Amino acid sequence: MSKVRRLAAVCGLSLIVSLLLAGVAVAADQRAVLFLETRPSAKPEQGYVLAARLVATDGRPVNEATVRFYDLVEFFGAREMLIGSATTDGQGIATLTYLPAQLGPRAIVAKFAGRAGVAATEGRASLAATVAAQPYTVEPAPLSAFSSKVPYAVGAIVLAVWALIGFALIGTARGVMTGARKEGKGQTA
Amino acid sequence: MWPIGRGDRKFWIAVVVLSAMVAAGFYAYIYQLQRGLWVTGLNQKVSWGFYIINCVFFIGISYGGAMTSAILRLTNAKWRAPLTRLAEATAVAALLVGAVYPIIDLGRPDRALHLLLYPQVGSPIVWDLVAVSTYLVASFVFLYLPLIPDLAMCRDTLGPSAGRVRRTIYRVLALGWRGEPRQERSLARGIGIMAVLIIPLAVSVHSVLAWLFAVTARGGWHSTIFAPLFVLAAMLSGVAAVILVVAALRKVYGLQEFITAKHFRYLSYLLIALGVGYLYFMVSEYLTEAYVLERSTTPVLEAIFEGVYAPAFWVFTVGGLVLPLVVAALPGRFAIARACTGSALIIGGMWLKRFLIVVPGMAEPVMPWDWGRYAPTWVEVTITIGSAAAIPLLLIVFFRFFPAMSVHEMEEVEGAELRRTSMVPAFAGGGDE
Repeated sequence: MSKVRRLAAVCGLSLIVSLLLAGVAVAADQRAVLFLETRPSAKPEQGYVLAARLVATDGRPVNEATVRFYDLVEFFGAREMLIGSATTDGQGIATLTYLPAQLGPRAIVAKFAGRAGVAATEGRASLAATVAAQPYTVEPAPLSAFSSKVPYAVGAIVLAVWALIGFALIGTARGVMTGARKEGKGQTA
Repeated sequence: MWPIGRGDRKFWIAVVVLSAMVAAGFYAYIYQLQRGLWVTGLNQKVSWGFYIINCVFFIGISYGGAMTSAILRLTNAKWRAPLTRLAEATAVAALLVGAVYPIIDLGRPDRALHLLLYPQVGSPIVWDLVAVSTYLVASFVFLYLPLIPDLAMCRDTLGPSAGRVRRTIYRVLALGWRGEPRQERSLARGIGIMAVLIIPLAVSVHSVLAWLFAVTARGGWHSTIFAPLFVLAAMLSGVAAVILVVAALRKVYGLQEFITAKHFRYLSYLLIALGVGYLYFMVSEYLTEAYVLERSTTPVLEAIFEGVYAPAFWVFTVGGLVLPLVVAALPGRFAIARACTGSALIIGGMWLKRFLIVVPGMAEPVMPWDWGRYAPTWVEVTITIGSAAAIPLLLIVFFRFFPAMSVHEMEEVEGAELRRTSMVPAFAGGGDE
């Protein structure tokens, strides 16, 4: 019986230790804060710099953390469009250059998915885009200068053919009818 | 004898039988329209089948009819006179049938309008529409202009039994023709322009049809020789169709006096020349492709020469091309029977050839898949039979109202004193009923 008691005591103790260790582990996931700011790029044509700073609640920067940046868009409903990702440096700062596709106000979100010891967090910022990417243009295909004119040339030929058909039909009809009228007048005279 | 006028018993039997076949085809199409293209043998891998084959085939026959008439007119062949009307009418009838097939091939035929509403000028399909519609109008004009003097003849000689409506139609369409020199000159000029114009038009139609295949990157289709090959194939099957139509109407209308073995011999010469030309083009195509053996072409050639499509290919080559040419070229008697036999074999062979162009090229996988399979269903077969019946139906109905041979042209070209009453007996008697 004493063996049973001892075994129960060991199990209970193990359980208590495990819970304590788990509590320590949970407590180790410190809360973090992600500050996001946007600013124009030094080269305006490159758009905007999205700078996210990840710091723990005790003020220490979190380095080597992956931060993902999203643009909130309306596309069959509100969606987060992934812009890209960057890794924080020793200051806890991750930056990304972003050239929006459209002008106007935009909402940007930076997300940190969390890792051992640091909890997940996200930050938001707005961006009034006055610079945007140029519309997509198709690169000219080989012979495009020539081939773009071909439909016009073929169209002109088609029109000429229709004109000839019209001439053959209407010209013949007119010729036959005129001949008939002259003959009629001749007979009357 | 089936003269112009009300139909006799044979006429109505023919109309009823052919109309029943056309109605069956129409029913099959409605069935397909209600249920969708899944009722056909078309599938994701082989999405072109009987309908596209028939489109190319019937437009080809039309082309041959128009070309036959145009070439005979331009070369001023004296023996052409009894044949031109039949060839021109065959061209229009076959074109009316062939031009409908791209719409039958659409699961949503209403979307055919998108070709007009949102045309892409870089697409061969848009130019196909332009070419076919232009050619259709030109074919009608080419049929109508030589008809004017004969319409005047109908106006002047048909009795009251023809009915007021028909006589009014003859009078309006005859444009007051009296056979005056000025009228003759105008008519000759108009026909001359159309005869010159119809040849490049017909060539363009079949070239664009060929380019629909050739501009794709599919094995067996991507060939520079496709356009002339299609043109020659069309001429060959068209001349064969004209021979059969002429022989049938000669028998039915009792035109043996005007259309003789000589006409069939000359048409056979044309058939042989075109057949030999086609054989040369075909050998040239296969030889260059089989020598290079490009990756995309090799499986198609294997399938055609020794694979699942080999029976169709060898039946076409031997039975549908070489044998009919030999039969038509043989000297001696039975020129008409030989010409008709050769023509029937060529028509069957050229349909098989179109099948060999369309289906293996589609069935060959362009992705790492299995070969596609295609077997037509009763819907496609019924529509095909119905459309084939529509051509003779259109012809016999047309020739019920208009002379089957150009009387004016026969008098002019052959200088013959024709007994008009024997050609169209109803003219004299005001109807045979």
